[in-house]
Amino acid sequence: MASPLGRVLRSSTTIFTFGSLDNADLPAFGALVAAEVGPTWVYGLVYEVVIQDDPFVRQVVAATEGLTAERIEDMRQRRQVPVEITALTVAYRQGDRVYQRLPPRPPAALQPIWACDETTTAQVLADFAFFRTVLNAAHCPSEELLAASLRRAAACRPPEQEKAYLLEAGRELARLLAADLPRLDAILRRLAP
Amino acid sequence: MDDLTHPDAFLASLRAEADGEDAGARLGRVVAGSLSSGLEVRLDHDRRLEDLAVGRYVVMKAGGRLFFGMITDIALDSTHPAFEKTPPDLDNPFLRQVYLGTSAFGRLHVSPLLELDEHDRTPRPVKTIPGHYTPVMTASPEEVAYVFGAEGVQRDAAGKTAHYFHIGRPLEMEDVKITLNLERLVERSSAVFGKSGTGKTFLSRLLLAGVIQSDVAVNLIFDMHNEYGWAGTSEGATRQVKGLKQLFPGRVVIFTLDPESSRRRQSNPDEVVTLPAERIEPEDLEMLAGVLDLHEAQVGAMYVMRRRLGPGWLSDFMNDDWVDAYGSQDPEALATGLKALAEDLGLHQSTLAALRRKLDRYWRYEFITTRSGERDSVALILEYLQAGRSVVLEFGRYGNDLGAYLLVANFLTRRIHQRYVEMKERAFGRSSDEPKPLVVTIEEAHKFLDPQIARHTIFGTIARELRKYNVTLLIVDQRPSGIDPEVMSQVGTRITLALDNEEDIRAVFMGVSGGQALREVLARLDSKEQALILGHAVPMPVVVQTRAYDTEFYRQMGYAEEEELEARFQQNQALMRGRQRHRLT
Ligand SMILES: Nc1ncnc2c1ncn2[C@@H]1O[C@H](COP(=O)(O)OP(=O)(O)OP(=O)(O)O)[C@@H](O)[C@H]1O
Ligand SMILES: [Mg+2]
Repeated sequence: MASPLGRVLRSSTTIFTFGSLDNADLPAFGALVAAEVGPTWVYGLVYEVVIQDDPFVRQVVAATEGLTAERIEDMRQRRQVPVEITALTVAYRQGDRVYQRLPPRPPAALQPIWACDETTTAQVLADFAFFRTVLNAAHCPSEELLAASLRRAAACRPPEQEKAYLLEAGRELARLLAADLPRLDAILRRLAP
Repeated sequence: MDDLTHPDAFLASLRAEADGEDAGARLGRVVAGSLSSGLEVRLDHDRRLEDLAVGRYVVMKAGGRLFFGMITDIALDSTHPAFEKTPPDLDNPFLRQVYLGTSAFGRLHVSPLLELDEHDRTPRPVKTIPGHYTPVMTASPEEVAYVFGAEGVQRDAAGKTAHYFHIGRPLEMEDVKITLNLERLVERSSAVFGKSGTGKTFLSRLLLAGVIQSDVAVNLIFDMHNEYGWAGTSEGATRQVKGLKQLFPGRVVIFTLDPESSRRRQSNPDEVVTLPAERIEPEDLEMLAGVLDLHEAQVGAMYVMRRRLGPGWLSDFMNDDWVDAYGSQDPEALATGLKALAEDLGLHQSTLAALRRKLDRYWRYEFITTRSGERDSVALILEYLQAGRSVVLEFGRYGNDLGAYLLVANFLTRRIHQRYVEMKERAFGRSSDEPKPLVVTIEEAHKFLDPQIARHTIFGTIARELRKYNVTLLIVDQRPSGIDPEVMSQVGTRITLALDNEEDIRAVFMGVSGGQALREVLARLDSKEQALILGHAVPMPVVVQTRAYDTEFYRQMGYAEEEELEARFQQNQALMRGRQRHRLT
């Protein structure tokens, strides 16, 4: 964890959005990110990455001439507008314990956001209580998000546990979504290794 | 005699409740149900229905108790009806693994049978059920063996001495012996049911061997097809199996109705049965009304004759010379012969003529004797019974004659029962003076116990009066539905081999609380040598693979082959000689 992914632009009880100027190292969809909030760590799943335009980009896009690969790369690196990344809050940690529920307070503005390593990801997503949080989230491609984050979490485990973890998650989903088969089926298909 | 042993393993398992997480044996969890209708168990996702079977025992540990149940039905279920209508994509291995056992799962119906308390480890009928989500496990061999009690002489749950007889083993448990409490078996009437060829006779002979060996009761066996006494036939490779007399030469006597047939079969009969005609009473014939097609008027006529003509009524009535000569002594008589007899008795001549015609065939049976002063078979049989010896009555060729079978069995049993009633009443409750408990075995029992005649026959009476007079029945039959429901409800222990007729299956459960749940179990027995046992002699219903009636069984009953005896003799002699030599030196 050399440098943070970015800093909080805005946040709410359920989501937080942070800005990043580093276009090359954007977190993946479904990745787990963390922010420190007083004595707790708040965890969220990345579900939206927005790259906004600015007058300069507009100009360059309009002027089709002289657009070398080098120049494009240079412009990407030196943008004035940050990439906006939004994460869905799913858990927090207090001391050694991870709670899969909403944290008491969201991250404050300008708090640094960190990517989580494999151990942390496996630990934070070991339990399945966060399924409901994801499934119930509005304005978020919840099926895709859940599948993506579970696959990432599985990959963070020792190879011999990967499949068992996915199966267990699949069965938990089957339980939760017993009454909504199309949705269940959609997620399971995305989950299948 | 040891006390009921409490295997440590069993106790440990009862204590290690631990929410039943000792993996491996767990099948699923209780999800619904009631005491009356049984428990619903949702199968764990890693359990395959294909590995289960109705009739198998399960245990549930909850609240310091161990509940025993039997799987009585198996079903498919799903969390949503759409799983039936639009099955998910099962070609995808992942989806398949998730859905099967989770969204689409197996369900068991379990009938609760017994409960054991941690402190008082006596099996008792269930009075409550395990709570929601109690883990359900396959019963271990130790647990099953514990409930049934070890083979041999033991103290039963009530502290009484009891003989536990090994009758078979549970399905899929090789080394467990299922035992029957013989005292309880003979305490009330019992039954062996099953369609033809399922092993009723073999199983009954097995039971009777147990009863004779343990001396729990004496037996009177109406051996319609000559299978119990000296030797029985087998469809198996051995062709012939040993009868009770060969196994217990000192404790069994063979009576025969047909000495010629017995000799031919070399069955070494001890006595020949005769029925003195002068002792035959209308009651003995009345129950043959169905077989003989006797009308009410004809039955009535027999009673009139008995009253007016005295004990010799039947011999006289069937004697042509006597009938022809009737009335000829009386000069004033207007008629002679049957006509005169009819007029004297106030009956129609046609009634008498028809009666004579119908009785004629019976009259020609060789075992009916008209000579007076014949030895009385009833007294002789009773003598043997009271000396503790069981009596097998071979019918020889009469076995195929239903009339003969009914007549003889009814004739003898009525009188023997009568004597038992007298003896019992004379004993005034002093058990030492009471007659030895008697079990009367009848094959084709529905012929004696069908609702039309059960009220009139001695067998109906015996079944209904329970053990009041120390006489009970062992009913062997292939048509339980043909037996009077009232009799059926008094049958204490029911041992049922395969049956396929719906009515028969229903009849077996008549008067058994919770019996309906076992229907599926019964309907799915193998066509041979598998039995469902329920009732008085077992702590809980059980499906067994019946014990083989073979040389091993003979040996366990104490039978030794001649070569073996010879070898033992030689051995003993050698031993004695050795001792002598020892002394001499
Ligand atoms: N316990 C057993 N041990 C060995 N063989 C058995 C046993 N039970 C049944 N059999 C075999 O099955 C055959 C049929 O059994 P059995 O004669 O007892 O049938 P059943 O029900 O009395 O038939 P039925 O209705 O014709 O009298 C026997 O001849 C024997 O070969
Ligand atoms: Mg038979």
